[in-house]
Amino acid sequence: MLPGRALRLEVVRVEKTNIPSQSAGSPFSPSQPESCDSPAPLVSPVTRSSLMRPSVLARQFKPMIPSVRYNSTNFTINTQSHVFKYLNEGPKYVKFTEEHEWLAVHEDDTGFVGITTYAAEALGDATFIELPEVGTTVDIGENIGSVESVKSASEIYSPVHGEIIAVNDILESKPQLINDDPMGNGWIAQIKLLEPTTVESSEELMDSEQYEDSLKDE
Amino acid sequence: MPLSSPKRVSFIQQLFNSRFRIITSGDAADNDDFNLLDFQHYQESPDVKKKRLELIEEVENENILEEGVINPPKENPNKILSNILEDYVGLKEPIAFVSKISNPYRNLAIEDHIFNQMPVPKDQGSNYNRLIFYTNSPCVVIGKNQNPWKEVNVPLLNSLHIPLVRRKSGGGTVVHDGGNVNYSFMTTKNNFDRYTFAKIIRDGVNKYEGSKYRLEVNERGDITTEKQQDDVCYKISGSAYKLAKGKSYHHGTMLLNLRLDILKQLLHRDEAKLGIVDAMASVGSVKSKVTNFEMENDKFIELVTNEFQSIYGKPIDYGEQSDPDEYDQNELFGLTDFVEANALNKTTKVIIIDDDTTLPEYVYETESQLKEWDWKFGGTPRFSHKLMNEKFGFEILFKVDKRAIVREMELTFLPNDLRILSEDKIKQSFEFLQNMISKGEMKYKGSELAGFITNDMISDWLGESIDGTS
Repeated sequence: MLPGRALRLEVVRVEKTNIPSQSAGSPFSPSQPESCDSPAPLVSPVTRSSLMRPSVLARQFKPMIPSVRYNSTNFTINTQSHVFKYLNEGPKYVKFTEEHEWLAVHEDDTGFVGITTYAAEALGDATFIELPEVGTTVDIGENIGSVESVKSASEIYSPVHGEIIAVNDILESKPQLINDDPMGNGWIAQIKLLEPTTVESSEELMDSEQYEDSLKDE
Repeated sequence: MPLSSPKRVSFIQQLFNSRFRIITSGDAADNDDFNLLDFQHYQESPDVKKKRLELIEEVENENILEEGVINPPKENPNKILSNILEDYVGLKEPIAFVSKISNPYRNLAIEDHIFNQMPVPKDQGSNYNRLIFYTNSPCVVIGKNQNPWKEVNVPLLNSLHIPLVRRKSGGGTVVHDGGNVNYSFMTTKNNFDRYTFAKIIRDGVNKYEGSKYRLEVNERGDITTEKQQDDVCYKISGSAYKLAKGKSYHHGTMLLNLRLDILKQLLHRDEAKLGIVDAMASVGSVKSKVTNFEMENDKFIELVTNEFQSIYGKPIDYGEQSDPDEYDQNELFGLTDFVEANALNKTTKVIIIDDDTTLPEYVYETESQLKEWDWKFGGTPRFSHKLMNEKFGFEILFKVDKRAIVREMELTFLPNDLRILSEDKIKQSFEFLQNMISKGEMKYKGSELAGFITNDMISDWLGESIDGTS
């Protein structure tokens, strides 16, 4: 898997896609639906020519990307879960971090935290969830637990400064909940925001659209 | 370093010498550690020597003609000068580290530090990957979310003074000794997967013809032997992973010449004596048939380092002035085949860490944290432990919470007509302990629990059964 060799292959590929008289049956045809096993499922056909860039080439071999196409419905809070129903209105806003955590903030300036559908898929079957202790105060970026799956321990970080006011104990006996419903019943902790006014406008946090775009850029 | 007179060292000779001495600036002993000592005895045939001298003259004349001066001798950029770990951990290039330290806590602390300090490249094209090797003195290493009472024969471990180590990565329990080389491959979180480095090890090691087995990587990402006559692919390496702050590592054990008989004993628990542990949610170990690869530790390190360098290393650069397109240096020496076969055209720094290396304070802090009971035993997820005492005819169940704090105990009497102590007397001997547990700060340590039991025989038995202390 020498990068040099991969590059040479890609040059050929891109040249082919640039032939205008390409037949519809070509494997490089933009009209061809992408299979789940496609090595680069997140590259849209329009941006194919960008495969020339080494940064995008590298992604072809990147196993962190699950073989699923994401659209906006992948990154919404499960409306049937406690995270949504906690207050009548549903969460005020939902934010995302680079480390693939989500944060759903309610009117009472408390936020639920969990890992995104993307992260849950990439990690695989969870075998153990380490939860934070209720009552502890955490800073932005501070470790608030971890997810163990298939021999890997993955740290979870707090997206906000606040106090842990609840943890999802069910995950202790049912860690697989984090795979089944990562953005709902698989929530990890509820945090009372200590600086609520700075959270919604924070440049560190992304909205769902930005988060989706960040996955494409990776 | 130069083999010839320092007064007149030609550029070509420098280049040649440095190519085969890329590992360190150290003495012959260091080279021998990588089995590179033989390169020192490299002797060229008279024809080759004649040709080489002609070429040297030619190239030097060219330099004089072109620039009027002889190019200054160029240093191998990978020559290691410093003995301070901190000088390397933040470098924005791939690096291999070899620890000669055998203290398991210190090695894990060094690994943790190198991981934390590894920079994450902004663009996907570059890599600042790290590779670390270390070999520990005998110890048992459990996964981050495991229960030592469940996984290990804790009393035996303590009586043999074998350290129990809880690592920061996931996965199961492994036994280490001097016949085991640990590897740790670090890269970005985006580039993480469970197979990449296992395959690198497989490919690197399989290039060597003299091994006992050909290696394979199974669907779990384990490195195993090829299927043997008994239809079993014996496991040779156990892996674990950690993801944090945009980075990831895959580390594992490579069983080369481990004392497998001792491994078996340390991990064997007789439940009649050591009790039944309900580890609840904690992560269990998967038992596999294992065998030794029977390769020398240094040979393994050399083969895997070569493979790492050939994939992630940087092309050898002898300074800004050299122009790689000017002529093919390998071809010049008729070494093209050799270089391609050994992939020495790409390299990385290889940093040797030993007892003389200056380590940052952080490493010592982490080392002491890893040694603390609160991490090793206190890091156990909630569990219960039921111990049976046949002689006195009772069972005692301890329910243990997070941080290994005993939440409650339950004493049950078994039918026993030959009881040497009455039920009431036994109950009495536990009263003080019961009282302490209800205060909610009782740690699940054999010595502490035993200290609150008023009957000496029961006290000794309890401490011994929990962790071999009393």
